Parts: sequence; C-alpha cells; structure tokens
Amino acid sequence: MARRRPGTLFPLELSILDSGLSLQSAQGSFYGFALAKHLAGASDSSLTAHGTLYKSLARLVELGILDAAWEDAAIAEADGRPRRRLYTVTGEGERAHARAQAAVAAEPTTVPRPQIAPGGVSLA
Amino acid sequence: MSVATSMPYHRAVRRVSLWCAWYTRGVDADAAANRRDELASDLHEQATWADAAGQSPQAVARSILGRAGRGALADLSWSHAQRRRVALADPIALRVRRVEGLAASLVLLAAIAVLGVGLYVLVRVAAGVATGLIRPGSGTSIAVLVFTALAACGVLLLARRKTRFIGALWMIAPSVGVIHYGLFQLYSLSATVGALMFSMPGWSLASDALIVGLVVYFAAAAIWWWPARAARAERVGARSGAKV
Repeated sequence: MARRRPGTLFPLELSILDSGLSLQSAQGSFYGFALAKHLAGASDSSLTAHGTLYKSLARLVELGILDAAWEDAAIAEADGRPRRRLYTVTGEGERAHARAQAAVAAEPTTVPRPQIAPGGVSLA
Repeated sequence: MSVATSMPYHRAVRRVSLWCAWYTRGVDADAAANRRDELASDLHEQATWADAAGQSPQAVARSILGRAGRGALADLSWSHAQRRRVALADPIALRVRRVEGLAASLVLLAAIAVLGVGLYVLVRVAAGVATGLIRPGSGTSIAVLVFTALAACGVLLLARRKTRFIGALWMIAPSVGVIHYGLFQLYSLSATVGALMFSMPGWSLASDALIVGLVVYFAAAAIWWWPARAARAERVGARSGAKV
C-alpha cells in the first residue's frame, strides 16, 4: 500500500474532486455510487471498490474538501430506496481543484500532488 | 426477474453486509452506522443501475463481490484508524484494553505450555509402547491423555474472549493432572527425569510448587475475568467503542 506524505492527496482523491464537481454542477450534489459510476465512465474501468471509495470520501470530508449530509429520509422513502449520503465540494475543495488543474496545464507530462496547508488546501 | 430480487444479488449483499459488520465492530457507533448505511445505499443503487443497463444478476453479484474484495485492505485500514482514534480519545479504556490483552496472552501462553507438556509426555508414551519399554493402556498414560485433552479444550476456551473466564477455571484441573501424572509417567520413560528424581532432594517439593503455582495462576486469571468484573470492563470498552 502506498504511503502518503503528510499534506498530500492521492490521485484517486483528485479524480473524486474532478468527478464530484461535474456531478455537482449537474445535480447540486453527488452520492457514493453515482461517483463510482462517473469515475468508472471517465477511466473506462470497473467500479471503484467500496472500501477505497468510502475511505477516500471520509478523508476528503475530514480535510474540509467535501461536505457530507444524509438525504432527507422522506425523499428516500418516497423513492423506495435507502437514503443517500450527499456530498458537495466546498470552497476549499474548488480552490484545490482549480490549483491542480492549473498545475496540470503548466506541466502536462507530470501531475504534481497538491499540498494541503494547515488552514486549507494549496498546491506546492 | 430484476437484479434486486435475484438470489445471486442477495447472496452477494449478504456477504458484503457480513464483512461490513465484521470490520465495523468496535468502531464508533455513528461512524459504523454511517458506513453501513452508505454501503446499503451503494448496493441498492448498483442493482437499480444494473437493471436499467440490462446486466445479469450473476454479473452484478460478481461486480459487488469484486468491489468488496478489492476494497478490503482499505476497509481494514479505515477500521484500524477509527478504533485508534476512539482509543486515543479515552486513555483509560486504551490502558484497560492493553492490560486485558497482556493478561489474556500470558494466561493463554501458560495453558499452551501445559498442553505442550501433555503432548510431549504422550509422544514419549507412544515411543515407549512402540519400543516395548512400557505396556500400552496403563492408568497413568490414560490419565495423561485425558488431562491433555482437557488442556486442549482449555486452550480453545481461553482463546475466545467470551469464554476466557470458563477457560481459566477449566485449566486448573488439567494443570494438576498433566504435571502430576506427566512427571510420574516420565519417571519410567526419561532417564533425565529419573535421575533428577533421585538426585534432587527438593524434586517433589519443586513439582508440587509448580502445580500449586499453576493452580493459583489460573485461579487468579478466573478472578480477573470474573463475570461481574468483566461486565464492568466491557462497559469501559463500550464507552470507548472498543471491545476488551
């Protein structure tokens, strides 16, 4: 298992940010399976593993990059399904994403990992 | 038939749910509930999506089990981090857990040692019978066999948290039997033990002291794990979200 340098994001976490922003712009928020589907579609691969996906989402919530809230139970009940945990990308998350994209544009062959400053997210 | 009502899907969901219940045990109740509910939602959404995409129930079940399998290490890592966080937030519970773990290991080690002595004597008995040194089915060798079997049961009982108390009590009898009859049996089988018995004036006292020591040790362990005390420790563990 890859060891994380303190204050860095894994490539999957960057992909989650990317997909999350796309889904959020279309639907206002996103949930675990929608994200897994979007990630699989983006890379044309199988669905992300449960453990990998939800561990990454939990970490992004802890870092303040994502916000999470349970869907209203009444809505889920009306649709006849379990309630979803809805995620939104926070302002900090949007800034981290913008900085990552700028870094990719500046150096297209290598993708630097964004550094997380104590008070927020920034790219070194 | 839709994916959601198919047997392969339900079997896969049951397995993933059991796995989830296992790795979320001892985790903070809210974090565990969040993970379980989120997973339940994910599994339902996948079935709905697969139905719309025209996937077979078998393919969906394979995909679900594959996702669970590929994420197992991440699940364990998440679970470990959650437990550690809870433990660090409550140092008293962490200390209780460590002491409990140490006590359980030491008692189990002693029980395994008693079992080892019994098995060693039985091997020597089998070798003695094979070479005609002793007659088969002697009362002493049968006693060693019975007490060794009891020691094996004791080790199994001690290995499980829920049966540690009974295991510690149980081990008192095989400790006496294995050491007493085992040494008696070795007297006729082992030149070393025979020589020690004759040359060491305190041999009998030493073997009796070993037996008494083991009895006191296992009795103390049983008192340590006495149900009322264990329930109190369980409450401390529950407060921290960790099992002791």
